[in-house]
Amino acid sequence: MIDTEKAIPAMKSSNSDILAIVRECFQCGLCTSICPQRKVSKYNPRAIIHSALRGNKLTNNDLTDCLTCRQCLENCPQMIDFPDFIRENRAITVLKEEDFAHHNIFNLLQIFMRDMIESGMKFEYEGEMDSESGFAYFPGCIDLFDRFLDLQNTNFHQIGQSAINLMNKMGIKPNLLSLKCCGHDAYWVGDNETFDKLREYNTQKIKEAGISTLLVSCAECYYTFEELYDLNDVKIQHISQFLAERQNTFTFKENNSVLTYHDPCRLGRFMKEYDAPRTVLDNILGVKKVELAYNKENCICCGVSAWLKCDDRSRAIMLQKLDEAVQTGASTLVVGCTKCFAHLNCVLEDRKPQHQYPIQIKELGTLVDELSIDKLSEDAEK
Amino acid sequence: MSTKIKNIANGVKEAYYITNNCLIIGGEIAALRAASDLAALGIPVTLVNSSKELGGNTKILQKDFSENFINKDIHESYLEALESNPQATILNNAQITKVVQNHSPFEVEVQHEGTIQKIIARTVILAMGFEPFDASKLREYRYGTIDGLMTIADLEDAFKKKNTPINEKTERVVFVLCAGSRTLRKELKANPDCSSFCCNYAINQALRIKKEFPDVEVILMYMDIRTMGNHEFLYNEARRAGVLFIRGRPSMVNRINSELMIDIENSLARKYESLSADLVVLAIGGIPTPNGEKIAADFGVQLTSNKFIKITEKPVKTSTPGVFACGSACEGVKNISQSLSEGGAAAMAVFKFLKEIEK
Repeated sequence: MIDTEKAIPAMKSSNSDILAIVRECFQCGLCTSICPQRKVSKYNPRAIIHSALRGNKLTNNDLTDCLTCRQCLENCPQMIDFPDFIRENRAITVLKEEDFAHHNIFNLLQIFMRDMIESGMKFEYEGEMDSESGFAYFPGCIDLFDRFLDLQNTNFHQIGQSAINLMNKMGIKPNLLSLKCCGHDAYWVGDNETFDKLREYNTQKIKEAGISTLLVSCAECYYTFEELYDLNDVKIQHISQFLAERQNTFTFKENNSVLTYHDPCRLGRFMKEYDAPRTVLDNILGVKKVELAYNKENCICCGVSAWLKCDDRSRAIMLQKLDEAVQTGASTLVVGCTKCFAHLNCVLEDRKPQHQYPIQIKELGTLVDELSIDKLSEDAEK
Repeated sequence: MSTKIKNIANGVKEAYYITNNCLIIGGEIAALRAASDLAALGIPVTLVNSSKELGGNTKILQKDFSENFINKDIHESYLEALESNPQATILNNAQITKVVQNHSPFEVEVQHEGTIQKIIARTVILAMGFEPFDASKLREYRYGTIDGLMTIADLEDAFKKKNTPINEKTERVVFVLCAGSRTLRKELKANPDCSSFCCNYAINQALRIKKEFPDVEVILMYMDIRTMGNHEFLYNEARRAGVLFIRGRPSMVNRINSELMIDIENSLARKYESLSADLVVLAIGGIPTPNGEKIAADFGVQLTSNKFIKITEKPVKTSTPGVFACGSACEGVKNISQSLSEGGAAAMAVFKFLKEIEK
């Protein structure tokens, strides 16, 4: 007899026995079969679990190759949280600079924010803001991406600007919160110390601000604030949920493009939010939405997570994703996560002659902002 | 204990006396066995079956592969025995609507052919059997949304009607074991336990295809082979015939560029494989019947954590005195020979219970 209650994966904080997370594995290999990393390399979660249970230490490659996309957990018959197992192991292993992408700049920036500065990130956006408002918006790290990623045609700042435009279009003057990084990446590379400090600072700031709702554009911020923070009464909303709630207040310009949507793992598999972005896209006038071959629960990861090692294999996953998107016949791939937006645009801009993808990557909020008509200001003009 | 139970119409105050009888709920093979055994012992039995015919899942998955039973519809021999015995009353298409008294003598109301009948019984046997798992719940296999997928029940039915999609042009048939069994994923509402009959079925079907079409590559994807009930000979014969066994649980079945593809990590070879197939057969397991939980609650019978009826004393006693359970309705899904044995055991337990009352 199997006791179904027993199968809940070991809790996050129980560092004492990491192996308890994977001990119930019966080596069926489904995780390896579905792993996006396995399709481009020899990465083998099943064998890693087996080896760990035999008392072997995980290698740095074992630790850094996992995308923590939870596709294995989604389908595992024993509900074994392999990504969490990897995270716990990262916490007790020293990762080197070459294990990270972009010389580890983004994780260093988190540590910088933890130790070196007293205040949160400063933002400069146009539009109407109200620091007394109960409705807050946090853009996330997008301005840092503009500064440190060498992308010519990708505007990260616009993601925040669009979100603010949309709120203004609906008559909401948001309180633009100056927080530090949410700490998602610190948490997932196993840097618990940094994560705890960032969480402490942000929690205090959010509570001081006295807000009731915090809107974010990034799926990682959404997951982190909602799942890893303890914010009691503050409602965390992802931009897609915010827009889906107000779908009827928008009017759209006529548009005849074909769109497809990529489910970010943090929004989809982590937070189970598949419907809100689709509701938004289905409501845009004239636009046709097609689904990727692998969508919703089975949507394949964009290829990089927590700024860990971005190499040929990551690129292969990204190119596969672009292939998949092109095959649907869509001209735009819509994403709901600023990280997916960064990674996919990075490979798109790095155009090799053999890679010509007739597709553009758009962030959901930016797209809606572009296509929607500002009724309020039009009415005001009249 | 001699008179046949009278079904007393609701509202009609007819004098009745309680006979030492048995009410059997369910129409599966264990119920048939229990009913025919009791009838043969001279105990009046009323069998309340919710579907329109007796036999339960054995009507589709009718084979027990032990040598006595090959190619014989087992339930039919029990049906003949029941129909010829005046002690047995069979109510098909009947639903238990109310349990008025849930201790012996039990009193239940049954809806049958538009009327409500009241049944009084000293003992009850719960033998509702199991519900085949709905394979379309396994999203990653896309059963019901793309062509080329069948369940073992579909295939068995096709064998019977002689319209299987397999012919000389077929290149590869893949069987996927444990589809809806041995998984703790809550959203599937699948069987966390081994369903115990499906390995035998899948292997037998694989063997049958391989024998009929030796050029077809037949692959079985398994986690563990469990040939319950002395069926190892099937497994041996299948390997001898050239059926290929790959260890692993496939993660995905999808149609890519019109080809049916199935993804698996071959954990024996430590190799990721994406195989094309003409037909993918899902060896579905069983889950508790949808009304089982309510019936058990009405009789005050405890359930296991997997929502099957709990046996408090082996092999057939439940937590309510006078209520017995047998077959796939209790403890977990069982194969035919096990269900038959338990049906017989339940009949014996009822007989013993009634004898003790007489004293």
